[in-house]
Amino acid sequence: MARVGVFICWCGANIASTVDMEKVTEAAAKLPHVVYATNYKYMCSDPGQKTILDAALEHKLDGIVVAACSPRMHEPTFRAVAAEAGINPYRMQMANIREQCSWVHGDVDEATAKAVDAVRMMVARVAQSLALEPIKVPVTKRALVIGGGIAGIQAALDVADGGVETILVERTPSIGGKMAGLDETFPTLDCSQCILTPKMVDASRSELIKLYTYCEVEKVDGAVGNFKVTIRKKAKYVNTELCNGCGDCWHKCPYKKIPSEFDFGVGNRTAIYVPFPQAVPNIPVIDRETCVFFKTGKCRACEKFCLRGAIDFEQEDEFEEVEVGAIIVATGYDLLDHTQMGEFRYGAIPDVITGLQFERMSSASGPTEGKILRPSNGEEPKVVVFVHCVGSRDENYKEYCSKICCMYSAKHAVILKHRIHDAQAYLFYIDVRAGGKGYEEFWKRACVEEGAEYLRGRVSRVYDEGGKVIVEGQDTLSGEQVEVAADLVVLATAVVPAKGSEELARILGISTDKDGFFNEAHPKLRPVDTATGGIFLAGCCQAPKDIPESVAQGSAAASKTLGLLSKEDITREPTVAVVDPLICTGCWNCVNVCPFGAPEKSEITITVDGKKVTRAVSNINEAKCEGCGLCVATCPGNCIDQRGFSDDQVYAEIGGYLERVRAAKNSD
Amino acid sequence: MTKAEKQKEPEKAPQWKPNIVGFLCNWCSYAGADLAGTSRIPYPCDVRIIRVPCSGRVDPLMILRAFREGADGVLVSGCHPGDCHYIEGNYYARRKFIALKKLLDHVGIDPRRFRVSWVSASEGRKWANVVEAVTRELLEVGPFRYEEDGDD
Amino acid sequence: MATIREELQAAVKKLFDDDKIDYFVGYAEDYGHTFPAILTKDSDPSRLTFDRKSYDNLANFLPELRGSRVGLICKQCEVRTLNVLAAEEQVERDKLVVVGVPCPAMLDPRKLTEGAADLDSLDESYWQEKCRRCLERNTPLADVFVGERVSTPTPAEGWPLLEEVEKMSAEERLAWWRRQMSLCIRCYACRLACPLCYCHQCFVEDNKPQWIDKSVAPENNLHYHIIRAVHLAGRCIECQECSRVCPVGIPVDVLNNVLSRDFAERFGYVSGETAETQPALTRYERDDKEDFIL
Repeated sequence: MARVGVFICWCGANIASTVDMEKVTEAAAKLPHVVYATNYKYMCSDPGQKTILDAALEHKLDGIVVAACSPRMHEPTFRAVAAEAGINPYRMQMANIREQCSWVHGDVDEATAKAVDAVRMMVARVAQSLALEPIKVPVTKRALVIGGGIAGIQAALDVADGGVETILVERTPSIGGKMAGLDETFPTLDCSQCILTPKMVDASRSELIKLYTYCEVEKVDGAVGNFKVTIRKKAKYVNTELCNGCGDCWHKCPYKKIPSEFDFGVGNRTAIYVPFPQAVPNIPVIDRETCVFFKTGKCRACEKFCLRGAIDFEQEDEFEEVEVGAIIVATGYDLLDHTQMGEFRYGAIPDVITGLQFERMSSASGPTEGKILRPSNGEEPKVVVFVHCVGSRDENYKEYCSKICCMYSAKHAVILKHRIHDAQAYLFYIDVRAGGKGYEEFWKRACVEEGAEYLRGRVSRVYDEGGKVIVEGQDTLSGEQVEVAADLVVLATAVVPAKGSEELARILGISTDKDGFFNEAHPKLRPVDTATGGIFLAGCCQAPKDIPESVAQGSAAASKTLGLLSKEDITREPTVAVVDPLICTGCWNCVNVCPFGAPEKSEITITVDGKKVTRAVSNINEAKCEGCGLCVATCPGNCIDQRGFSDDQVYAEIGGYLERVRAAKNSD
Repeated sequence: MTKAEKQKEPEKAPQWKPNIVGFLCNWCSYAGADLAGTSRIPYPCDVRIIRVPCSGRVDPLMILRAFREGADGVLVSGCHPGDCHYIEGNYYARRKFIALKKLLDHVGIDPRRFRVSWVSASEGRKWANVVEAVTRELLEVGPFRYEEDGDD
Repeated sequence: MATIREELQAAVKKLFDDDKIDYFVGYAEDYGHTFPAILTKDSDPSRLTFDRKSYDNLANFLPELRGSRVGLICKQCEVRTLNVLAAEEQVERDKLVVVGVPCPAMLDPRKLTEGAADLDSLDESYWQEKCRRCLERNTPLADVFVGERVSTPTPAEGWPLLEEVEKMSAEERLAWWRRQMSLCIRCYACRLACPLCYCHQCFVEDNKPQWIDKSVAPENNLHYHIIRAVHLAGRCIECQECSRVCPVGIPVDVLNNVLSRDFAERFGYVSGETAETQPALTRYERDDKEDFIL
């Protein structure tokens, strides 16, 4: 028999007002295994914890049940108390009699009966709980950052600053991300390039940061502390050792009318190109899809003009496997495709552009050298309509708020006024969300000092007529229908996860929310972790964020990474699956279902009827097991069990409750 | 049970309360049930909750064991499809439950005795509604006894 | 069936003579019965036969012979079984020699009377239910084929016994199954005859914890059969051996058929269709249809 102590918490009046403390204590004391039961006003408080410690000593307890709040609240607290009392923390169980009892049931008798059942179940569970020790795994002291935007760059710089080698993988030819394309930034209007490019250079100069541009993560194996990552190095068709970035090749490339991805189509690029002049590294790549040589077998102009002989049409994609201990995902965002939206004429009107296209136009280093022009005729716009919440806060598209649009639309209105003094900005908005340092002041300034006209309401229709773009909408403050004949319409389209996020989630084994953003481990308390150990999130891949937030999360992810990698070994929850190899038949059901690749095909040699037999059996790699128990429930032969959520424990809980029910039924 | 006994049943009904075992995944439904608590959303008191890491951990053996031990109903609740903390555990669980459900229905066990729900960590209200619905249905179906139900 | 018998014996002798196999799994005749036989090089092949009482699913012996080179007679039933076993890596196809036969449809032993006349001439009313649904009477995948190919009649639709049970009300079904289960003596012949019940230790023997009580009470028996059906979900190839061998005549396979039919309709799933077909419970589709989840 186990020696279990039951400690019942009043939680002030939270539990005690609905659950009869004395009755529960009395019932608990009579249960098998229970040698001591008591109740106290606040079990989590210092005197409460002392009650447990004293009782453990006095009654030689080897198991504890704390009937109190949810284990999601205080399990760590009481596990620590158990450890202090010399009892294995995994032989402490919490009966949830607050969130799932006193707070939802009004009738004292009923709630008390339920609380007694909860205690019965947990006592039965503790009696079946094995002492468990955390699992230790050695750590590879190297980090991987996926995505070279501001969040990824910041994370890489901070990890490297902590003395840890960092691999920064970026799928485009240059690091810098969306921020490299922005003009001035809200609310201070400092130039985006001026604050970003030094960081880009730092990253490329750092001895501890290895840049893998034009590369993608192909495969991830292993688990926290020891990931094996396969990186696809896409063929650049340029020998990066020989190239000095002189630019002769792209100046000579005859194919000049390719819409630039970096400029969102506002400008053009060549087939061999660097995305922007300040690119890091300043090494061009040949885009196989648009290069005329790859299409027709003729041209090779770049090759002819390259004095260093750096062009290499024979290059192929290469794969490199790297080992890292932690991964930071910073894959950023894309904009919702407004050409799918009927209210904006499916992208058919050239003078309807997105916020990011506006940024490229207003950027001094952009294709128009900072001139804001109408795409249709190249003239200066005098009336510009900015539309907030395009596809955001809209149940037809994305329910969520994209968070950055209110501020950047205000910024656009200010920039417009600065560049074209006689221009008028109209902004259609639902609410202005300006929660940030200096943000409220900034949009007020746009409104008051810069004369931007804010119209509260949604845009219902946009169409072109007589060289103008007519924007119809409602001003809900005046209650009137509004119509603006604009020269240019700028859409603050919804921020969506970057293309390919879903595929990456699958490769990494992390989950996404309904909108495709990566899920954090806890929305409040673990906003940087994912549920998969050793994988952290930074920037817009987790949810829409502005630059300071992305930088903050990048640094936070870096500090999480450094914390993890500063240890020689890491400990993991011991609630992993275990195979009994003697009865495993090697049907590989577990291998097939495990989302984490934890069960591995292995062999065992045993003696059957005096003969040595080698059998194929499954073996759980503890470092990979996340403890979901899926394999346990899938194994037809019950060959797998899960520590901490064992069949015995669940069985005991079912029995602990229903024994009482059966007894009641029989006495009927 | 004989016809005469069946007719007697409704008289007992007012005092009778169903005994329901609920298997809740730690990440969504258990947290959703906690949220119902912190939001003080009242619901019937007849479910006893067993916390499991994932709905994928729930073995049909557990469900049948609960019935064997005298449960009148079993409720399994997990994360919504696509939201599983362990990425895909609930998808596999769903197939398993489809199979078990089909078999229980076939052998004549009332479908209302075995229910599955998807309740997320933010759906405290939904958890309360699920318990409400399951309890109400079981009150209609009455106590589960193999011996009498299948008496011949 | 003199010809097929001779051809078979000659083929098996050749396989041994050419050192292609270590064991041959086939049927032998004795005392008027046909039963499974495992031959080695030194065995006498002259008792080997193949007739309409070659009931046993011979794939059942393969997990035991794992690692050896085995030749075996395969009807359509065995072929589907082989595919499931191959998908679960319980057999190595390249170590097997599949001896194909034209299957004349197996007779239902319960319908045969003592001293029945010429077995070859018995019509459909004497067949096993599964044989009416047979998709291909001439073994697909055969490495060696003996006998003359036969034509396959159009497969019959439906599941007669299952449909009969389904006509009853829920209470009647529960009563019916309770009656069936009260007959069960837990001899586990169904499990033994099933070629896909190859676990070293069955869940029902598990006593830590003991999920299913060992005593022979109808509800315990029902639970055993339900869980067995869940474990065979999307794997059972409907050979009906479980029912044939049941000493008390419980149509155990009806439970398996519930899922075979449902999975075919719901997931478009046919077990053992190919050696790559993953068991249905170890895969999923994001939009798997169900109608009971709240």
